[in-house]
Amino acid sequence: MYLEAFGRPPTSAERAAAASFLGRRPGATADAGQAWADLAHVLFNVKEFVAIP
Amino acid sequence: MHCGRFQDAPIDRRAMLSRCANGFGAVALSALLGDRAFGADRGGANPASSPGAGPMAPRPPHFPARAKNVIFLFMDGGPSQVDTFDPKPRLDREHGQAIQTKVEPTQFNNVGKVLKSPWKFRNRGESGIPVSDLFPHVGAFADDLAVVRSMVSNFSEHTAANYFLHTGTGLQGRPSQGAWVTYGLGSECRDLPGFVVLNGGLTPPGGADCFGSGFLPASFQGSTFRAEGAPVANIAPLEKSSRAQQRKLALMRSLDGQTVDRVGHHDALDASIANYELAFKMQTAVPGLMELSGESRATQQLYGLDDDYAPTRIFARECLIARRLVERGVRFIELLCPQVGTDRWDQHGNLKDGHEKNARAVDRPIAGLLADLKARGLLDETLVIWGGEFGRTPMAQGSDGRDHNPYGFSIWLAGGGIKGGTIYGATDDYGYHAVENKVEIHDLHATMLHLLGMDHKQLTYRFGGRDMRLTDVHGEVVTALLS
Repeated sequence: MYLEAFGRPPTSAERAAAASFLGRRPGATADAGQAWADLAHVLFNVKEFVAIP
Repeated sequence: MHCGRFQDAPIDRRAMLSRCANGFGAVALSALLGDRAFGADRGGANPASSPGAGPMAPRPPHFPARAKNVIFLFMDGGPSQVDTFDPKPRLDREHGQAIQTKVEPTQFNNVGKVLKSPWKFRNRGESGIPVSDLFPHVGAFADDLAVVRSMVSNFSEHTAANYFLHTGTGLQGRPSQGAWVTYGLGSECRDLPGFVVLNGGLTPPGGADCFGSGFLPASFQGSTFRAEGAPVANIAPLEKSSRAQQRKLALMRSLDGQTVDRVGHHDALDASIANYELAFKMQTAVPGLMELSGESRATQQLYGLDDDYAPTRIFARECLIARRLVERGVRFIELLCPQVGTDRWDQHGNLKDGHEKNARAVDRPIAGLLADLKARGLLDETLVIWGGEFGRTPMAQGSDGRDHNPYGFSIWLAGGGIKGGTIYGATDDYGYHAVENKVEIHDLHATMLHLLGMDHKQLTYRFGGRDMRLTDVHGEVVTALLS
């Protein structure tokens, strides 16, 4: 996802944040698709994606 | 990890001296630069100077202000001065004859005969200001109005004239007056934009660039709310629960923070982050703002929300929302006219029908707004400006229309710091050219900024190698309009 969105791998901090976001979601297994969609939605709205500083 | 007894090392002697030395220097420097600091460092161009305050944090004016907010009633298309606020008996006398003065080139150069006004003028209020029967409700507030009959513009075509009226230049892409005002003063409202445009249906020629921030930081651009239906696109959250939305926002904030850590502070980046925070707050604030059912029946009727004419109901809604925005501390509010089925105030033909409909749409709501602001003690601190980008010709275009006329037209101001019951300036006997006390758009801008407590010469932004102003190198405050 990071390669698709930003053309680079995530930093370890970003990897941890994403893992925690996916993992801590209630009912994670039942709704895994939604969790990944939410993560993608967030990544598209991170300012590194929105703007090119 | 910190243990319970961990304490930061106290500052050492060298660091203490070096910090204080810089501090003393800064105090001296700020005193030396005191005058210049008026214009500089406004509007979060340098967020590091006021961390956390954000670009919309309220900032003190240059000198005590007479008005805190502005409501600009933009009469898109160019209302005719000789049919509204500038009666000309000569038009009655010479109706149907050739005009006996030099005729300027017009938009369509289809110059007809002198055309008398289809409307009767009456002296209104104690001051006896003549207002035509197009504006019976506004006319009742004659004693609160300062009518300027000698406005001139540099452009006789809508788009350039709209840019000129809004930005002080006839070019696309310059900061709008609302952007300059919020750049100068910030806004008292934390959960709505500082510059709001209420769109009743007519987007003016020139489009969104009439309300842009140009070279000013992006936070100051006007945000357009539709008066009816969904006010702002995508304002309702898509997430099923607010908890789900909060989690996503928390992750986004954390990742944004890491982006800023990596690349540093940039104006566009900071503005973009601030926009997301504002958008989140607006998801609550905007529905509350637009929900008018809590207003009393009397108030709703005062504005004309019950009017028979649908465009009047739309503009009534805009005017009532404008008052609610003022109450919330929003700095600059611009109202755009509703569609009346013929055209904006741009009657190249069929003057009587078109002007009647446009006037009917706005007259009662504007009077309601003035009455309500007054009753609530808000008119004293709110500057209300009514006007279009130019006026219209005293001779007909074809047989029953009027063409564009930037050489002399009328606007009015009311509210904070304005001397009511005033007529300022004059046009010639035809109402064609301003001949006495001409007022340029720059003068209007200078006067507006003055009432807001700002010196138009000191409200500057460095761009393109020089300090730019709303008034460029022009503008005189029209002191005769001030109370």
